Amino acid sequence: MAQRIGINQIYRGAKIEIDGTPYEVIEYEHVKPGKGQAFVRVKMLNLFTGNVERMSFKSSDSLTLADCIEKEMEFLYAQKDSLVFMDPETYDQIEIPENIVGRAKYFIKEGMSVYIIFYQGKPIGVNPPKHVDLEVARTEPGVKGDTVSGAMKEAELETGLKIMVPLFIQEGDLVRIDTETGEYIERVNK
Amino acid sequence: MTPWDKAKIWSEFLSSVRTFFLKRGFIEVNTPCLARWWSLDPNIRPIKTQEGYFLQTSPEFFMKKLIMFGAKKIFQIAHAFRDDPIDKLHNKEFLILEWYRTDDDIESIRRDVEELVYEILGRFPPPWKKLSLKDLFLKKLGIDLEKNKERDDFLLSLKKAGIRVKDDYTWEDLFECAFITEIEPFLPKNEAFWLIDYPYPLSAASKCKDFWSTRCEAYVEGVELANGYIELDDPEEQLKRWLSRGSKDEIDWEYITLMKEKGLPPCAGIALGLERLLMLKLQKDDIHEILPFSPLAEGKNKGGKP
Repeated sequence: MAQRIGINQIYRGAKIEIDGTPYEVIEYEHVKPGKGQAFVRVKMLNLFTGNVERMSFKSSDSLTLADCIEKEMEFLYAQKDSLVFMDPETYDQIEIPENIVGRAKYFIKEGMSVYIIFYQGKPIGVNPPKHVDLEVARTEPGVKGDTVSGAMKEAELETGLKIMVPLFIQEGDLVRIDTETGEYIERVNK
Repeated sequence: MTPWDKAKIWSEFLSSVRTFFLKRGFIEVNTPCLARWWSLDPNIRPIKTQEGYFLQTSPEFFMKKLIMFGAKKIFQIAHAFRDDPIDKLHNKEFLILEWYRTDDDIESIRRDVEELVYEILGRFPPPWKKLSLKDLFLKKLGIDLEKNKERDDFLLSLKKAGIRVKDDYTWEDLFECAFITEIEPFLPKNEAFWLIDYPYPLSAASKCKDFWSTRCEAYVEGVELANGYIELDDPEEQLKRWLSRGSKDEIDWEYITLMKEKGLPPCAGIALGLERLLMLKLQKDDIHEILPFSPLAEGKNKGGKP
């Protein structure tokens, strides 16, 4: 049976189901305007579409917890239109269509551990680690002696992701990326 | 700052508020905090004593009684009590500044607020702009509130506009849900302005013209500071609204009788939260920081702060 919680028991990261769609709570706040009643305003991530939606609930409302689990799995390889992951405990393999993996495919490489979200037993999303280290596949050589701080250039990483990096970064360098923002953090030693 | 430092700031602040009104010909009044009845505002929870008295949620009805006995321009700085959860902008007891102008309209009251705030804060000179809820709903959501007077129509329109609302919401719930989700987050945060054109169901004791009430709400730097309107003068309508919200023993029958016998002259009034005004003056974002004694003071170190 679906478990219900009162809106006042809401927490960040809670997985909620509304009209058959699973959401993850990103942030929430209690609001009580003028002579109005108390509401809880919530920002939620639609786990099907990846869109952020705003909703408000009366303080007497309750929510249904979504039948969601997160499981750590290893990324094995990509094939045409899908990616294959393995459960490190049972060695079971699953294939997840590229459109469900979404943007995460630009952040993961073979052998990396990721979190897969299952809704009612079916995979609906892939969460890469917060930081990943990826190799620079292509970038223009930096101009020697250019010391303007903060100057950036484009680089394409081994996964096909294009990001902005500092001028001193060269092809073959390993760079650390924030997977939430998709931004360069630092160069790491191999 | 010690409680004594804060108490001195309050003393100076309250005396400048008093001077502001006395200079403009208002008379300061003082009415009871405890009564057998309460104002029956929906969504406001009063604090009740064991013997069945209520601590006032505002001095509104005593002050309007004074108006029926001849008062013209009166103000009061009163302790008010509401049994709401404590947060950055709410405390269970607070100082309410409430004033009335008889034979005058809401424009003059709005002017009072603008001049008072400008005098106290030294910013936001009058006049302030007015934002109409009617326009905001139309622009932001494509919803004409006047064409959505029926709950079922409103529910359908909001769903079409992509707002998540529950089927069992009342008209007021629907309005507030849409306001909180799609309107309020986008109101100007660094300005002072008036929110006007509140629909009739949202205004407890306000005189209404058809669908629209005379209620207005002052927002300063994102904080709701004051709520005012032209006072409802129809005893039957007042009784009807009260009966829809509470039991017969909670109603101020003396007020209804006076309204019938003497009549309430045309008047407009407003209530302003003084903690919030002082908070804005001192450029804080939490009223508990400026209270000499806050129920949160000891909770701060125990994770008791909401």
